[in-house]
Amino acid sequence: MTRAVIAGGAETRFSRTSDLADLQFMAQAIRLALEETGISKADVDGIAFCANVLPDDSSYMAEHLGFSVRWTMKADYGGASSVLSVARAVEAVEAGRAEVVVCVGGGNRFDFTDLHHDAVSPPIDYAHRSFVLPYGYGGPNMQMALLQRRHMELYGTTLEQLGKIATTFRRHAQLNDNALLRGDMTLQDYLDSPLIADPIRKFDCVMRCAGAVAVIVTSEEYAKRLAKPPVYIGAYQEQHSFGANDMSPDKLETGFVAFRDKLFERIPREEMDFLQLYDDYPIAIVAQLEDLGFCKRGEGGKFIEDTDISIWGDLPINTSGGILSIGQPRLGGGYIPLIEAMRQVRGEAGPRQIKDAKTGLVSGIGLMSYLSNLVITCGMIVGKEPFE
Amino acid sequence: MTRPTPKTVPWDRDFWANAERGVLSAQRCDDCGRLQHYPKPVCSECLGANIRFEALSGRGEVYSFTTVRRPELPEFEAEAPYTVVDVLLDEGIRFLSRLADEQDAPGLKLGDKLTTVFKPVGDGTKHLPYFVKVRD
Ligand SMILES: [Zn+2]
Repeated sequence: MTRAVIAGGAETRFSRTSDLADLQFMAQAIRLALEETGISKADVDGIAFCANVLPDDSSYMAEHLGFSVRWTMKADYGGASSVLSVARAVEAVEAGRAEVVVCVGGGNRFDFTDLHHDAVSPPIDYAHRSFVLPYGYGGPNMQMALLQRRHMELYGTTLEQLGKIATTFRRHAQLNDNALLRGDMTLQDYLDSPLIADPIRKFDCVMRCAGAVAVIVTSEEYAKRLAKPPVYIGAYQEQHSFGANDMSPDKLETGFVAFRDKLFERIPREEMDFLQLYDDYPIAIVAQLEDLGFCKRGEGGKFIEDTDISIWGDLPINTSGGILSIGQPRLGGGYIPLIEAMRQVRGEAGPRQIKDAKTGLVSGIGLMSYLSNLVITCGMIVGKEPFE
Repeated sequence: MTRPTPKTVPWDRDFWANAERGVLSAQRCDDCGRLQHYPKPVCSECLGANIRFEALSGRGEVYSFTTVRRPELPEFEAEAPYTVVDVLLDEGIRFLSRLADEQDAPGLKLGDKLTTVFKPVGDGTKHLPYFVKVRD
């Protein structure tokens, strides 16, 4: 069977504002990824776009960028779109449907709607329109606030524990010159940052930015021709709408619990040299550590307190600064953990390099459900060597 | 920008009609007995279409809450701070809503008892369920 690998990838410069349209950003990221891998555009025969839902759109987007391909997809899975697009590309390559697939996401800022690729905002879903927005509710800040409030009250999770996540990632970002937030942040700065939706405060919230990221998936055979070593994929799992049909879904239990045993079946947790987790909020890191089984339910705060999660510690998490300190370039944000995992296992992380980084975990989370929490969760184990 | 208001769809007509009479209701499936909210076109357990709106007690307790200082939509800025509540109703289903009276917000905690009140929204024809704290 053909084995699919990650040939490489690259990101544009991230910025707080820009005049570029979404597709211009995506084109730039694709060009950089092709340059990084040495792949010619003519060899690309598959393309996946991370973008919001519009019908029948992915083929037109391919046409706009001049890609004549035999496989396209639109990844419309919120923040999980990026990792998920790579998983779908792997399936396409291994099924012989394509040999070189570009996965891309990003664009101009979410709130600059006239630069969106479709120039209109997609219609939001029914539940949000009638049962969420009319209350002045909605948006991730408030949704994560409900989750964090319950976690703090039930388990005694503290702001100091959550602040350790934000400040550690900030120290990592200071070693990444494409991170937009690199100023010093002390625990006191975190605690003193203004409340947005109690208990969520400003330094809990991801910052939207402009930019794009592209990753190229290809066959192991094709990758042999390339200058840089490929990144291997050891395991992948995803879960959609976990708990959504319960009468009273548990707000603190995410879809990771549904697949964690399968994800770590052949490559156990203990073999992870680092974790690159989708981090739009520190509480999302706590939830993922618990539900991925790195600690028990309710003990995520204590785990953070007791563990050195820095580049220099026992379990480095989000070594490039995370999306929290880099910025969130629309649905391209989810590639940031993957690109950093790629650089770590290739030994290309410069001042952020972890010693002997061979295997790591990348996660994606996306969208918030009416009552439970994350609509989509996914996890991918990547490594320097082929997995048997 | 106009403030978002609920828009009736074919399967939630009775929810809004009940709300106008001051009655909180949720869908009950006659095939499998499931009670569900938000309204769905079918029963999301058995996929049957024999569903009708059943009156609820309107009582419940705080499952989680957040006091919003910086609303997502500018239309709500004048109302901030306001408190969004995730309510566990006595019937065992949950309901997202908001405190009707911000005087209930100080000292609010998980498990506090709540009851429904309705407020007209938009052009006044839609009545949206809010919650107030039950004082003992
Ligand atoms: Zn049913």
